[in-house]
Amino acid sequence: MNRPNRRQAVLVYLLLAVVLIVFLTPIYIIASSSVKPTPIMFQKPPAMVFTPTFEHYTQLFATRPFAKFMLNSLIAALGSTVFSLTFGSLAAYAISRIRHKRMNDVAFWILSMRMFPPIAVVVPYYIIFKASGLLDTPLALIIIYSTANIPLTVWLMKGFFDEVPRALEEAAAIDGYGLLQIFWYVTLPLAAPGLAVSAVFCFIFSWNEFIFALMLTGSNAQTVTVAVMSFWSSDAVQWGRIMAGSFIILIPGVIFVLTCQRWLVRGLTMGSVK
Amino acid sequence: MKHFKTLVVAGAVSLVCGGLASAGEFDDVELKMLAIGDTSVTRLAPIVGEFEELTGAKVQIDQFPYPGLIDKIVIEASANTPSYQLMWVDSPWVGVLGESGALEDLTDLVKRDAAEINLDDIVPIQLQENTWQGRLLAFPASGMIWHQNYRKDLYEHPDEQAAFKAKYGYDLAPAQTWDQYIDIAEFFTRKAGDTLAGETLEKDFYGNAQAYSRVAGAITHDFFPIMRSFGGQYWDPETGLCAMDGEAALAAAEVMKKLVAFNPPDYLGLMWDIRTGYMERGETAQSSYWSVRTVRLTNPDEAVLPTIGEAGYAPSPTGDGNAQPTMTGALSFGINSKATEREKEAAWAFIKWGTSRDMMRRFANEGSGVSQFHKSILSDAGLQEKYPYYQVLLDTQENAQRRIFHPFYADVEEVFGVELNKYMAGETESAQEALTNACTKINTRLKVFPQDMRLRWIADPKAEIFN
Repeated sequence: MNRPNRRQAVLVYLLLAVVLIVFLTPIYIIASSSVKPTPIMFQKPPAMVFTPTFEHYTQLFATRPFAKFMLNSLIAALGSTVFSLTFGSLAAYAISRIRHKRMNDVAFWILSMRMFPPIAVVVPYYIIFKASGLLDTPLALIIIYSTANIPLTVWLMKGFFDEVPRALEEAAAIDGYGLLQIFWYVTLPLAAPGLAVSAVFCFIFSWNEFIFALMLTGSNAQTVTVAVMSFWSSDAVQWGRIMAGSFIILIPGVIFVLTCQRWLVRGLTMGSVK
Repeated sequence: MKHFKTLVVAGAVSLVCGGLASAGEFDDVELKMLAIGDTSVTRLAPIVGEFEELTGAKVQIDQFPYPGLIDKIVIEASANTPSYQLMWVDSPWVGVLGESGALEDLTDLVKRDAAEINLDDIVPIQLQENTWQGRLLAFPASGMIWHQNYRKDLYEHPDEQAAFKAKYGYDLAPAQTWDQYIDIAEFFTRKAGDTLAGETLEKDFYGNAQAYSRVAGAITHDFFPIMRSFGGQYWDPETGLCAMDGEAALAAAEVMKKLVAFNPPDYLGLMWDIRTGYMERGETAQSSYWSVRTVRLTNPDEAVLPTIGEAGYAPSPTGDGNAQPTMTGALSFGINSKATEREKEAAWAFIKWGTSRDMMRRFANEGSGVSQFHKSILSDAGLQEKYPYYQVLLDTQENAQRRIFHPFYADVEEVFGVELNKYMAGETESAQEALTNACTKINTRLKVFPQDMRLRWIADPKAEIFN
């Protein structure tokens, strides 16, 4: 492969700079607004030099139990991620390995579960959780998020399992491994990048979800997305607190993605090179 | 001394509220309130323990975002055993909530306790705001008025007064008509480097800040008071269909279009909240909006203006020859119709306690007295000094008109938001085309329903609590 010449390198770096500006500007605005005094919040041109204040962060935690809402979000997001990966990968393995002419239809049917508009099912969910005593609990959110995450996991993991040579499983079977042992010790480790990709998608979806969290939780299980938006009231939008909350919300997602990054890159590029 | 005063007021409130329910009367009741983070709630939330001490009832207030709250209320009211007994209600919602039967009728309770709640002292329109078919569905916890804010320091500057008189032929004063409002907006629109009140401007200064954003129906909120001030009506009284494409609506849309030239360049994205920021930073000469945000203009922690100038307050302008028809709004508390009788009793006791005149006076003394609905508080000389816009709020409610309360309120807000925004952006040729488009869309939805139902939806009989 030829090394890029100087002009090509400059062009690449310029394009990268543009992309970085596009992606990082909203984060910069969130971060800077979260420490900007209220009176100059929307000053034009934007105030670039100012004495930062942490009042918005203080108020965020002083006026609402924001730490509890963070914990609720973490429980719901991690719970749904673990649940979805466990059952989604088992289902995907079955779909990948069972030879039946209708198996692709089954896979598509499972994926179609994700296509329900949330607002169409929120009332039935409300009635079900109200009757079962699960309304306003993190468990309700884990169940709902899993109904969206499992189909995605199945679809993603099926592709990864399809890539694992059956000969390896047959060799393990000859060595005396049972079906679950083969799945656990042979197939799943080889599909680990797929698990990482699925985990990231499941976590981010659950972490960011708003409609179900708004409709099906109260103060007990309220999540951060709802809590942050609750600073939008009829008499004022507390932009400083919203920005402070938004910045905090970014952190767990970034940590989670960075943690999965090694497997994520492998997962996204898997199959692209023979 | 300040703390002593607060203690005295708090004591008085406790004594008065002692009459609301005897100690321990509701020991067995737990109330939950579905609310938002509005001032009417946030000033009450930290002190609900006082209500528990008085009555024994535990109260928990859950705060949610404004967008989506009405849907949550409707869903909540559909449950036979509701999680929430108390509801925060914005007055335009009474149509939807009234038709869905979500809220308990408070008419008889208010009549029964009229003396205790000082019914005669409450601005009548604030109660009317919460009625549906003449029945009171919620009780005001915060009252707001649409009025104009202006730069008093600039209006009173001799150079500006002389220049204005020379250019327009009449004295510079808060606008009483929309023509004057446009003149003032034009006069004060200056570029960086120009002179304003003897000072050279470092950046552009705007004559007006108006909300033109379609988001959350912001532009519709600004359009309605202007339309009403020209004598416009929301609905055709003969058919119950959209009437917001008539002459008054047209005049209102044209006023807004003329004001575009004197607005900040990001006018199409200005929501109600970001718009008020221009006034709060002292970057515009005038701006009309709901009084709930007005308190910021006197608070240097929330606004730049108090440190660089002074705000003045006046009724919103009106169409030529029309009486001032200020638009009001009520942010209120209601009771879930599905709550048990015992819960309803305790919930009503809570509403009486949390919205009582003494409590409102306490809030005013403590600094969160922006939204008031008692005549005696708005006319209190001491409080008027602290909240210089109280007299304007009081005066303008004499001839006030209630906000739109139709069950299709949300549709109107959205459809007109889009169509008016497109007209202001130049995407639609004429105001008539924009308004006709909007009304056609609304009517398409309304015509599904029989005429007698449509006429019932627009009926606004006098609240039966006054009978």
